[in-house]
Amino acid sequence: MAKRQIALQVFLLVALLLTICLAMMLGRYTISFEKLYHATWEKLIHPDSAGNSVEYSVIFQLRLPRILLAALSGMALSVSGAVLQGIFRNPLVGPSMIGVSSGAAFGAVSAIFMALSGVAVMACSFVGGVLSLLFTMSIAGKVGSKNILAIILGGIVTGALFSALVSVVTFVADPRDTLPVIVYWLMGSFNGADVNKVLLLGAVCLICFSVIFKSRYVINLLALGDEEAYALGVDVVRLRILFLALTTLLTAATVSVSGTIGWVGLVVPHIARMITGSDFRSLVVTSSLIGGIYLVVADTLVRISPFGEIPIGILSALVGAPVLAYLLHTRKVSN
Amino acid sequence: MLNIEKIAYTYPESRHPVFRNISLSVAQGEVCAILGKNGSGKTTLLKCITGINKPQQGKIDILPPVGYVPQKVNFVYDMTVLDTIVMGRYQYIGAFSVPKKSDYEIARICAEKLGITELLDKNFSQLSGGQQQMALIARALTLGSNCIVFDEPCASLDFGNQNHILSIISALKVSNTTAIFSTHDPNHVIHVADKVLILRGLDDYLSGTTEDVITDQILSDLYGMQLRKVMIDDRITSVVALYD
Repeated sequence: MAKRQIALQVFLLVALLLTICLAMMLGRYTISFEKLYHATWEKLIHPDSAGNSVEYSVIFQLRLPRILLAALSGMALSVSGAVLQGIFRNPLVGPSMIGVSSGAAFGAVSAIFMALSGVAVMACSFVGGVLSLLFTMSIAGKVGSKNILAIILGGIVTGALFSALVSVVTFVADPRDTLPVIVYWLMGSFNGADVNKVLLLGAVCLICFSVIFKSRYVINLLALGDEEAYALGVDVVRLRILFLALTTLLTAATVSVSGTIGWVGLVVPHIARMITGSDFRSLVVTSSLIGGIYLVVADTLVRISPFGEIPIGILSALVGAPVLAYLLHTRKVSN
Repeated sequence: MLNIEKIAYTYPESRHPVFRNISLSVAQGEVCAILGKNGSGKTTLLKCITGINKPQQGKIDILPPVGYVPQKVNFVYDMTVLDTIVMGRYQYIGAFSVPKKSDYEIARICAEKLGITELLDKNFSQLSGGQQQMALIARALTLGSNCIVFDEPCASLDFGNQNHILSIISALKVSNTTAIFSTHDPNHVIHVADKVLILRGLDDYLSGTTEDVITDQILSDLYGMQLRKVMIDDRITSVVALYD
C-alpha cells in the first residue's frame, strides 16, 4: 500500500485516540488533562482499585465505557457501510438496506414490550438482526445468490416489514411505562453503556474486523460486477455471503447495545472516499477510523449539550442527511 | 487448447436456448474468431468458455486459468490503471491477501508489452475506449494463461485502434497463447484468425479454417446481402459490401 495511505491511517488513528482523550475530559464535570493522566496512571498501577478521586469514578465508570462504545459503534457501522457499498456496487447503500437494523429494532422492542431484562433486550435485538438477514435471503430466493438487485429488494421488503412490526408494538405498548422506553431506545443512545456492552461489541468487532481486514482487497473485485469478478477467479457467491454475514453481525451487535443509529454507515464511507479514494484496501480502514471519530464527537456533543441529552440517532440524522445532500449536490458521491 | 463438444445454453430466465450442439476445437497457439450477427450468441458462447455461464448440455475442455477481456466495463468505483491491471493476478493473490510487489512488477511488465506504461498512474475512467481495452488486455496477460478470450475487442474503436488490438491478438501466437475473440466484422476474421466459428442460428453453425469458411456465399447468406472478398495483388485484404 502507498506510504501516503499508511501515513494517513496512522494520522487518523492518532486523531481517534486524541478524540477519545478529549472526550474523557469533557462533560458536565470537566476534567483537566493532568487529572486524566493521574487517574489513568492510577488505573494502570491498581487495575482493581475503586479509585481515590471523583475524576477516577467519572472516567472509568461513566465516561470510558460510553466513549469506547461510541467509538466501536462508529467503527462497526462505518465498516459495514463501506463493505456493503462495495459488494452491492452502490454508493447509496448502508447497513439499513439489508433490513438488519429494522430486524434488530424489532427484536429489542419486542423484548422491552415483554418487560424482559436489559441483557435479554440485547440478545433479542442481536438475534432479530441476524434473523432478518436470513429473511432477506429467503425473499431474494435462489436468484439472490447471483443477483445483487434481488438481495437489495429483499432487504427493502424485510426492512419495511420489521419497521411495520415495530410500529405495531409501539402502538400497543403501555404509553405510561413501556412506550417511552421503546421510543428512547429507537432513537439510539450510549447512555446505558457498561463494561459488558463494550466487551460484547468489542469481541464482535475484533472477529469481524479481522476477517474484513484480511479480505478487503477482494471487495475491489466484487465491486466490478459479478461476471467480471467471476471471470477473474473470484468465488462471488461465497464471498458475498461471507461479507453479508460479517456486516450483519457488526450491525446487529451495534444496534443491540446502542439502539438504531442511522446515516453513519451511509455517510462516513463517502467522507472516507473523498480523502482516500475508492480502493477498499484503504477505504475499509479509513472508514472505520473516521466512523469512530464521528460518533465519539457526536456523543460528546450530546453529553455537553446545554439543551439536555439529545438521542444520538437524532443528532446523527440531523448531521448525516445534510452532509449527504451536500456530497450529492457537489457530485462527490463514489468518484 | 480448447475442445467444445455439443454444448447448449439457455439463460435461466428464458425458455429458449441461445444455441445447441455447438462443437469446436482450437489448437494451442491458434487464433479463433467467433463470427455472427448481433444477437447470435457470440458473447454467450464466450462466457461459456470462460466459465461464467454453465452450459446445460455438452462439455468444454480448456486448460485453466482463462484470461477474459470483456467488451466493456462499468466501474462504479474508479481505480488507477495499474490497480486495474494487477487485478488480473487475483487467482495468485487469493481472497485473504493483497497484491505484492511481485504482482505489481508483473502488471508493469504487461503494461510495457502493450506500450501503456505512461497511463499507469491515471484513473481508468480517464482513458479513451482504445486505451481502456489495452488496459483490460494487460490485465488478462498478467494471468499468464494459455488462453485469452476477447469479447468484441474492436467494438466502438476507430480503424487505427482496431488494427492495434488485432495486432496484439495476432502477436499472442508468438507466446503460443490461444486467443478466441468474437466479432461481427468478417474483416477482423480474415486479418488475424486461423479458425472461425460462424453462428447462424439455434443449431446452425459452421467451423473450420478461415480460408475454407470465409467465402463470398457464406458471408452473403449470413448477412442477407452481397458481400465480396476483395483481392489486391493476389492477397485477400478485405470484405466489401455491395449495397443496393
